[in-house]
Amino acid sequence: MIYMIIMGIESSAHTIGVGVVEGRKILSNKRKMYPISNKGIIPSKVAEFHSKHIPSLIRDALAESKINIEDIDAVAYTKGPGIGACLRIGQIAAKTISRQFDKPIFPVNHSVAHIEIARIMFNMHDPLVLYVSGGNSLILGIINKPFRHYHVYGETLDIGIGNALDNFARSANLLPAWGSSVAKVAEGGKYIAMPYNVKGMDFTFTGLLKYATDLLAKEKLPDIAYSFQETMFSMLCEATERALFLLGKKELILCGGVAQNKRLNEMLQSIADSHGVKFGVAPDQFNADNGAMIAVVGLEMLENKDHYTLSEATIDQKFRADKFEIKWQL
Amino acid sequence: MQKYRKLNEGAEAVIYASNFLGIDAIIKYRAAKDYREESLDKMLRYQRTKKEAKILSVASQVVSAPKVLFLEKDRIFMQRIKGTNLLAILQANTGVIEKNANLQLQADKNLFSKIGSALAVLHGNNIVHGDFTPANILVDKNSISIIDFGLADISQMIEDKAVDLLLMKRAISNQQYTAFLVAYRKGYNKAPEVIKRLEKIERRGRYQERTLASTTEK
Repeated sequence: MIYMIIMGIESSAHTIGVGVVEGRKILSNKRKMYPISNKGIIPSKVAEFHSKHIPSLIRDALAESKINIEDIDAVAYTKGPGIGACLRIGQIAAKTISRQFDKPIFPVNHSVAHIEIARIMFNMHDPLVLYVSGGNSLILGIINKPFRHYHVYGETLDIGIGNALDNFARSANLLPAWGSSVAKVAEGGKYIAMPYNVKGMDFTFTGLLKYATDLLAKEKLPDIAYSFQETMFSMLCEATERALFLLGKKELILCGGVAQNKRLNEMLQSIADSHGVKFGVAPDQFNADNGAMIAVVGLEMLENKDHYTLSEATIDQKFRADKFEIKWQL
Repeated sequence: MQKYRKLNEGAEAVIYASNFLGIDAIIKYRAAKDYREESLDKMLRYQRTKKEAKILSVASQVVSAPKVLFLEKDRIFMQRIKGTNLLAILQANTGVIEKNANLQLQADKNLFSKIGSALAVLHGNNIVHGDFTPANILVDKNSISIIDFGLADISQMIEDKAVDLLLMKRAISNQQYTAFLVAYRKGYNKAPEVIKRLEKIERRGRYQERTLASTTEK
């Protein structure tokens, strides 16, 4: 049997990635991350970084897959959501390949790509999804009306959980300033009561973030980090458990950058076990931003005979997951 | 808790059938959640149980809602109210409505104005329900009762009250909502403010997009 070969290009935020898949098999998944300082990132600098590295990443991905660029059947890229200047780099690369080698082009929703790679990996058909990353914290599930899409059942009403973790890490002078540094320092901490804010299946983080950063002057860092993380994760878990009950789902996916956190994995596994729900988390390389997941959705679109002209291959900084039509069968 | 018959299980609590000194009762039991930090878990369960009992004891004096019979740290013994869940009634009615449309319309109007009046009384007492959907309304012949105050709060905030309206609005038809709203307006003097806020909430980006599909649809 001959499988289709797709190249996926991801460039929505600090990571530039190129992945190649052949059928359901991942041939390569190369990426480079913009070095993060303690001060956050400047979009134009990151875009510059991406444009510098994308040619070599494409070459490396092809070499590792042992194919030539002519061998691919289509190219997929991240349409959004993300930083405009960064998205533009991936889009230009994909359009160039599409025009130069006459390959079909597919614009992909970044959030749906994170979900779909996990869903396919665990062979699920109707999962509840907890998607947690820097800018996003969403609870989603498939709905067929008015078109098939991942419907948002619950979400953060202010900032994404990753954002909150990064912000806390910066205030606490942790390096590098992101979630895994918070997780590391949280080990062995003792619990301090903190504000807890869940409303139905929605949640907010800013009040908790302010409380935790204010506490830095008074309490020990491990205790604050542990309590901060524990409180946020408990909020996510409560909302997720409520959604599982309300919708009666029997499958649960955890995905997005923060899905790499071991404690969050453990908590959701426990919820899934207690309700007889199948639980799936993709390996870390697919929860960090990567090209392979974009390629996987591109493949679904190609097999479904979707068609996009070059002028339809746009970018959209605020491309919500629920705006992306899932035309293929789950 | 094994000796009691389980009636219902939710994400947060389990409901058991019981008998309290000869009165038909239910027990709402908030079981420990293994996944979270023990002190946080206890704090959440005990605080919520206590708060729910407190709100119930006020609510049951002003509208038809379960009376609290006995309270422990993680469980409330409350009066068992007779009736059929409105969500089940609404789901069963879809499709048969046209048969005697006029009668159905009048019945709906009576029912939903009762619900509107009840919410008006709750809001007048600064009780917001927090999960005001058909699943939490019981109907017995011509009377209605409100149950599950697990997410309720004592609040003077217009925003919180508007969310109660929003949840009901999303779950019922336009005609039903109109009857509901007329009664609500009549029963609560700050209703115009709440309705104005509801319009504002509906215009907010995230809510706007999410109301496309109702949450009860699978």
